[in-house]
Amino acid sequence: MKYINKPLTFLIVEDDILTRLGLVHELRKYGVCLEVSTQKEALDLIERTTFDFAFVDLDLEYELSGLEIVEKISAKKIYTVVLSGREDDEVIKIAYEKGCRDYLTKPFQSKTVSSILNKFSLLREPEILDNFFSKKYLTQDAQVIKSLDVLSEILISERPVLIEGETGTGKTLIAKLIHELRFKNFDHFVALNCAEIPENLLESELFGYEKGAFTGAQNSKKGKLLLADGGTLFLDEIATLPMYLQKKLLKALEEKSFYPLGSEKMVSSDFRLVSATCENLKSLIKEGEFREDLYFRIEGFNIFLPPLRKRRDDIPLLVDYFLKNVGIVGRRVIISPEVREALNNYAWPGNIRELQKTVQIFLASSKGIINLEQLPTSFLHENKSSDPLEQDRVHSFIIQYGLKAYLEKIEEEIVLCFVKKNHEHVRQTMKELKIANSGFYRIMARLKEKGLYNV
Amino acid sequence: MSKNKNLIHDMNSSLAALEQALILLEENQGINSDLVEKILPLSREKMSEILAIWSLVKEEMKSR
Repeated sequence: MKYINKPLTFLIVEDDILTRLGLVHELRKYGVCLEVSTQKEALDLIERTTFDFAFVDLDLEYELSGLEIVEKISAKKIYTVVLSGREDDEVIKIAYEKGCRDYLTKPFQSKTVSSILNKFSLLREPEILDNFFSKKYLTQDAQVIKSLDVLSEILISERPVLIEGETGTGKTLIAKLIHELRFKNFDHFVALNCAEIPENLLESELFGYEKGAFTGAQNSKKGKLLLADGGTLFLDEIATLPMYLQKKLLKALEEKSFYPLGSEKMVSSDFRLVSATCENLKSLIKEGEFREDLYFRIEGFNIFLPPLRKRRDDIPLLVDYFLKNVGIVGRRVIISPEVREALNNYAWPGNIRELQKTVQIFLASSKGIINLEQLPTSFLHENKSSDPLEQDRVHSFIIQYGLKAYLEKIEEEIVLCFVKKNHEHVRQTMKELKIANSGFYRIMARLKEKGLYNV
Repeated sequence: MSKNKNLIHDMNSSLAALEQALILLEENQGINSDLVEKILPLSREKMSEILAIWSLVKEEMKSR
């Protein structure tokens, strides 16, 4: 248990000694247990003493006699879990109405008790959650904070998680945080970007294969679904899964088991599924490109990460964070107010990832002060037609540095773009740009001088 | 009717307790011999309890 630091006092109200033994065995790692087996003993103890947590059997001397105890304990704001062999919804509903916080079906496994305690400890110390996420996912945007609020529930539930957001908004980071808070390491965090794997390899990557399952399968290999057993499977860009694999994945999720390719032996795997997409899945369902039944299976908790352009307050926060935490330790770079303004107004189509890369470029620059000269022209032209302030930025650049400098800047960016595209192939670049040797090398020299090209 | 209901309830809870014992044995075998030693006689008692309830159920069924 990660967050139980001080010993707890548990009350166990249970008439069956074997069940009590199982609970005491599990709970005494975290504190002391008070055990009673009748309603009267329980009610007496509730009056006389205090405790942190209670497990109450629903059916003691007579049916549902535990409900009165649950009600009394819950009234004292003590976390109460009902123990019962009953699985009918009506009884469970009544127990929750009486104030119980969890319902544990008998017989139970020790890991179920641990997960209930985990939930209790997290709810008891919400500041742990707040600190955890606010330190690792920087935002001051109310919508994102609200969206991340569900994370506390995600941690205490087995339901799947669907993260939606444009590319670069931090979907992978959130998936890792969901896993990290629950597990101590990344041993069982298994990630697969469905868009990065060729379609003909996706099935074997997901489900694994047996030796000889297909040409080239010289050894058997475990698939991602099996590797994630007991942990988290993160399927990024799930919308790109072909239809036949969507069907196969749905079946595997429903049955928690599947057949690896070429195998007649079914394997079981139980994992928390976290899916992510930058597409609108509901639109894809309407277009017949994504299975509705799979959507309902993967959606559980939904987290939407808005693009940076919709939460501009986060831009200066992230710029300062990356300035401080990325690059050479101890090196200070100052960003001029004009550049900050340009960064704040830029659309950031690549979102946080693009912002981080931009700051990395600043940090790699030989200049200590980043002014408009170091900024790519795309930042100066941003929203040119709709935002007069953006036009002002181009104007102020020209007034400050002159038209020649502005045209040179555009020239440099075009050359740099072609050089990169051609993998540093100079002759090819000059041929495509139709410029002479002398002109090309003059521009390259300027780029090197500005620290924008280092080869 | 009420008697039947009680028998079913007792049978259910005793079976659940016995299954709980098996889970505990499975989880602690070779790890926690003290606990295993405590569980085994209690499981035998529970089994006797189940057999006693089963006899009552059979009688009830015969008398119908």
